[in-house]
Amino acid sequence: MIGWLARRVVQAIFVMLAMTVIVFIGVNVIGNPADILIPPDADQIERARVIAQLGLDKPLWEQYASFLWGVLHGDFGKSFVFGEPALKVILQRMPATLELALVAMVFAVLVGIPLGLYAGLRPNAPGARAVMAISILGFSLPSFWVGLLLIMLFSVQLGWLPTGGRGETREFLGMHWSFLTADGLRHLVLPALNLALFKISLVMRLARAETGEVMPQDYVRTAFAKGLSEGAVIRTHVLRNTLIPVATVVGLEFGSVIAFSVVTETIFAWPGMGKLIIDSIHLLDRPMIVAYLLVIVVLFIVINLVVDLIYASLDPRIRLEN
Amino acid sequence: MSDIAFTRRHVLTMTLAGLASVPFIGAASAQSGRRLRIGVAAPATTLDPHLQNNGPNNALATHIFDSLVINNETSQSKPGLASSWRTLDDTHWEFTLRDGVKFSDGTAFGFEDVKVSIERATNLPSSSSFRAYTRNVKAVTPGGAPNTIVIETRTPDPLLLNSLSRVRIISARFKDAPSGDFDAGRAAIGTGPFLLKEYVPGSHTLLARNDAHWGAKPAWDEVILRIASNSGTRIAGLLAGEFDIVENVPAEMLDRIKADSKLHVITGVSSRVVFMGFDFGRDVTPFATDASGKPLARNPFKDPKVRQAFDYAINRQAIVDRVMEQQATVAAQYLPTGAPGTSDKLKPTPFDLAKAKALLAEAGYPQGFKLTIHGSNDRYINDSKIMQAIAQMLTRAGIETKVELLPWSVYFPKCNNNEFSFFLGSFGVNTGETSNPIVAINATFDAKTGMGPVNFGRYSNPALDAKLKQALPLLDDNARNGLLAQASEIVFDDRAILPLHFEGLILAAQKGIEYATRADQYTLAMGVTKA
Repeated sequence: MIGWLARRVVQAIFVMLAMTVIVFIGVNVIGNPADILIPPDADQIERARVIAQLGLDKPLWEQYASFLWGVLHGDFGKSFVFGEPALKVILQRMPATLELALVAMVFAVLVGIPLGLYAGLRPNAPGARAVMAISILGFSLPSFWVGLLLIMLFSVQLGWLPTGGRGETREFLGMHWSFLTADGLRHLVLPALNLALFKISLVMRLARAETGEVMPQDYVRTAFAKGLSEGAVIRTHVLRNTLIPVATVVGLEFGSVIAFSVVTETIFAWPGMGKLIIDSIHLLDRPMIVAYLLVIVVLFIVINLVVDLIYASLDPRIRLEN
Repeated sequence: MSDIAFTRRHVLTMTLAGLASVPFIGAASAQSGRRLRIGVAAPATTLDPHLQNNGPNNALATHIFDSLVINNETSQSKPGLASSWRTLDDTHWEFTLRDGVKFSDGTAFGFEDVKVSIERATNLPSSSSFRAYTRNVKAVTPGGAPNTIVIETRTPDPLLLNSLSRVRIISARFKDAPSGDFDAGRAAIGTGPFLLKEYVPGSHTLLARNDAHWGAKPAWDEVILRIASNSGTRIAGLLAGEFDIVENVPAEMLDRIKADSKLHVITGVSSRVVFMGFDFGRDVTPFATDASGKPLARNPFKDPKVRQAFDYAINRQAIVDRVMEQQATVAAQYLPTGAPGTSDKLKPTPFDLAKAKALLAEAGYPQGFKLTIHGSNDRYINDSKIMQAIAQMLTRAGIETKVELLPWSVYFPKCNNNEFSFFLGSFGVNTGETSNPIVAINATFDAKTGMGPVNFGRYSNPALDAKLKQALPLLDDNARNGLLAQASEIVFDDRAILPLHFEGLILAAQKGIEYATRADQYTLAMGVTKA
C-alpha cells in the first residue's frame, strides 16, 4: 500500500513537471504577454520597463528555472493581471466552482444511479423506455443552449429563480458558500441542474448497461436460486458490481466538472474559476495558467487515488499493489 | 472560443425571437428601494486605483475615488478635487485644491494626498502602469497661496490635465498599502461619490452613496455592479427585472428589447475609432502576391495610388448599415469633425468602385493582385464580420482577397511586430483631442523618444513628424489644435491609415432609467438618473 502510494506521488510529480514545461513553451510561442497587457497609448520606454519587470526579457530557460525555484519555496508566481499571488486568486474562486460541481455530481448520482438501475432491471417497462429516451436529450443538447432555455423559462418567463450570480453567501471554514443561505440555494439550482443534465444521462446509461450485464451472471442466478429476495440480490450482488465502472466515470467527470465548467459559469454569471482560466489564456497570464493547471492536475491525481480506494472497497479482489 | 461565443449569441437570438411572441409574465418590480442594479460586461481586476490601467478598473475606481481633474462625458477636462488651475509658465501648473473635502474615514484631503497618489501611480510595479500618465511629472510642491499645489513637468505638457484625470487620489495613509488592502476594503477610502460596502472579485461590487461628497449627489442610496460577461445573461437579467441597466448590448438583441414595453435602448457614440492599416515598413510585403502566390516585387502600399484605390473601394456606409446594424458612425478622421485637433476639410471618402479600379490600373495593377488581410475575431464589435465585408469589397475592385482571423492574444503580438500587409486596428481616443492617436499610430516609430508605439505599419513621414514636434509642446489650445488639424490632414490625405467608423455604444434599461453615455465607454452609476 505504501509502495503503491509512493509510486503514485512520483508519477504525479513528473506529470506536473511535464505540464509546466508545456505551458511555458506554449505561452512563449503564442506571444509576449507584455504586448497584450500594456495599454496602446503607452510608449516603447514603458513597454521595455514592463517586460523587464515581469522578467520576460530573460531567456526562457532562466524564467523557467526561477519559476521552479519559486515553487520549491511555495511561491507559484504573481499573476501578471491581478498583481497578486496566482494561487491566492485561484483559491479565492475555488469554493464557488467546488460547490457548483459537488451539487451537480450529487444530482447526477442520486438521480442517475436509481434510474439506471431501474431501466436495467425492467428494460421493457414503458417508464424505463421513457427515461432512456429523455437521457438521449440530456446527452445531445449543448449545455449553453439548455442553460439559456432554463434562464428564459424559469427566470424570465416564470420569474421563479434568479438569472445568475451567487446570491447571498455565508462564511464557513474561511470561505464564502452559497449553499448555506436560502437565497444562495435559489441561485444554485439552475446552474447545478444545467451542469448535471449531461452527467445524469451519462451515469444513468452506464448504470443501465452494467446492470444488464450483471443480471445474467451465474452468481446472480445462484443468489436467486438460493431463494434470496430481489431486494437483497440487487443490494449485495448487482449494485456493487454495477458501481465499479460508474465510480471511475463519476470520479473523472467530477474532475472535469471542476476544471471545465466554464460554459455554465459564463452563462449563469457564476464567479468560479472556469471563467478565470479562459480570461487568463486570452491575456497570456502565464503564472495564472501554470498555477491553475497545477491545481487541476493535483485535483485529478487525488480523485484518481480516491477512485482506486473506492474500487478496492467495492471489490476485494482488486489489489492496489498491481 | 470566439467561435463558440458567436454561435451562442445566435442561438440566444433565436431563442429570444421564439419567446418574443409569448406574453411577458414574470418580471419582478423594476427596482427595490433606491438601489440601482447595473449589469457590467467586463470584470475589474482590482480595487487598487493605481495598479492596472484598463477600462473596467478605471470605471469602478471612479465611483470611489476622485481625481484632481475629471474627464466629462465627452472627455473634456473639468474641475474635480482641484477647483481651478492655471499655468505659471511652460512647465509649472498651479492647482487650487477644493476646500473642505474629507475622505470617507473623516480625514481632511490635502497636498500630501495628491503627492502620495501621483508617486504611487508612478512607482507601483504593474504590467499596465499609470506611469505613462505621470512620467512627465517632475515635482509636486505646495504652492504659494494656501491650499494650492504646483506641479512641475519635465517638458511642456498640454495633456497634463487629461493625464491627471487618470490618477485617482487616495489617502496618504495608504501610501504603502498593498493592493490586497484595497480589495479587502481597508484602504478603499476615497473622496468619491460612493463608498465601498462589499467587493467580491469576479462577482459584484456593492456601493453606498457618500453623503459627504463635495459634488452633485447621485440619485441612489446603493448601487450594485454585478458582472455578467455573457451578453445573453445580461439581457436575460434585464428582461427578468434583476438589472435596472445593462451595458454592451449586442445589436442583434435590439429588436427584442424594443419589443418589450418595460424596457428601452440608450445609444451613444464612443471615441473608439476602427481603421485599416498598411505595411509601409518593408519593400516586399509578404501577403500581397501575384496570381501564382509569389510576393510582389515591390510593396504596392508604398504607392499612394494603391492606398487611394483601397480607400475608394471600401463602402463604409454599407459596413455601418449592415455589419454594424447602424450602431456606428462613418469616420473620416480620429474624432468626429469639430472635436479639438480635427480638420473641417476632411470628409469621409465616398465609395467609388470605378475610381478604385482606375487608380489601381494607373498604379500598374490593371489586373489587381492577390492579398491576405488580417484581423482579430474577439476584440472589437463585429471585427470578424468587418474583415469579411472588406475582403468582398476589395475583391470587387479586382484585389482577390483572403481573410485570416486570429484571437487577439495571437493577433496583437504579430501586429506589433509589423508582420501583416493590410490589417485591422482600433484606438480609443480618450484624451478627446487628436495628438494622442497621431503620436501613437502615425508618428515615426522610435523606441528612444517613445513616438509611434503602436505604429504597426511603420508609417514614416518627415512632414508629419515636423508638424507634431511643433504642435506637441504648445500650451495654447487654439494654436496647438490648429497645428493638429494640419497634422490630421497630412495623415488622412496621405492615407496613412483608412478610418472606417466610430463604434457605437448601446445600453438597455428599464423604462424611466436614463443614462448619459460617455465617449470613454465607462458605465458610471453617477450618470444614471431616474425619471
